[in-house]
Amino acid sequence: MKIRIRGLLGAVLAVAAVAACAPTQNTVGVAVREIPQGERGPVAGVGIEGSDIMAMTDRMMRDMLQSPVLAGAGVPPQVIVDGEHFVNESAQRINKNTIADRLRVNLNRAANGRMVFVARHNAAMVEQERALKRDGKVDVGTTGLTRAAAGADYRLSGRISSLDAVNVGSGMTQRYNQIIFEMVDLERGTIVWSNIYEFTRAAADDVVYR
Amino acid sequence: MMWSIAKAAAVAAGAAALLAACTPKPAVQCDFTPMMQTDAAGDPALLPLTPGTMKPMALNTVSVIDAGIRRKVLVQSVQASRTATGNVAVETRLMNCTDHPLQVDGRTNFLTTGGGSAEAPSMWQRVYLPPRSFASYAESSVSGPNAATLLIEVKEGR
Repeated sequence: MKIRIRGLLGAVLAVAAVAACAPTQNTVGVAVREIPQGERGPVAGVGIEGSDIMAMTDRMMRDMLQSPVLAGAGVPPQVIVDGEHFVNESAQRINKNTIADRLRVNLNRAANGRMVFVARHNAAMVEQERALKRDGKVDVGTTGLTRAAAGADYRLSGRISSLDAVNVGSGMTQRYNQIIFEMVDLERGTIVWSNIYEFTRAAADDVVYR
Repeated sequence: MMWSIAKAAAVAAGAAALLAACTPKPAVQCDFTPMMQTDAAGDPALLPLTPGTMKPMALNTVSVIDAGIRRKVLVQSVQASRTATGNVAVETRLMNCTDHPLQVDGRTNFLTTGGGSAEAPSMWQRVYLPPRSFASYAESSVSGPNAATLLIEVKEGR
């Protein structure tokens, strides 16, 4: 009897060992798949999607580089492109930095020196290093000291807003999404460039943005 | 009996022909045959590395990459110019030859004189085409003088 139990235990352990080595079959799930950049994936709703962020920042970047004020000035203007003055007043929860960051990165790469980008979002980091240099705790580096950190000529501002309509009978949801971008002259307070990205979508089964 | 059936059929055919003649023809009528026969010989084109493996792709024009809309959307014009900042601005006018609204996506590849990529292709941009009407797709390069030629791709918007 003892031998039989031992044999049974051995068989169970052998089966467990084989099961542990076997590849996991996620038979009831949906396999992970890559979504081509800029294309809508299988989970989409009436709001701003990742593909919209890519499309809108690409369009804004291209448009800004056609502006003689921003990309055709004799002395490259110093600009701040961050999410600090980009406000979200829409019904959708969204990390506005995804818009500002993508715009700044692509604009900086494409501008190729036609604009100078001030990293105001890293101001604390810059101040810390400047203080260390001036206190003599670290050397001055190789590019030398400046009287002050860079100021900006223009800064990005923007607003995300939306207008929702719901048909309670059919459950259809419709949303108008509007995203505006403006470059503000930080001395005169004028708007030197602006553009808009807008679209309307309707769906019966909306998704949750989080 | 035979005679009356034949007479009725003739009357019906006549009525149908009359009705067809009275039905107003759509304002926009498209003929895709000349577009399909366009030969890019002599024009700038993307050539295959191994001759004969790929049909040359004409540059500075529109390539409808989606077979589903190849006989629905007609390219009416393509115009390109240099902007004040030295970039290329291109605009193409697309005609919807169907009786229902269409959505298409367009993107532009800006290329150097040598045929290399001057910059990353633009992101897909949605264009809404009303029935029997047209809309424009426009794009601008960002790489200044590097962009010498271009190729616009159009597919059905989904």
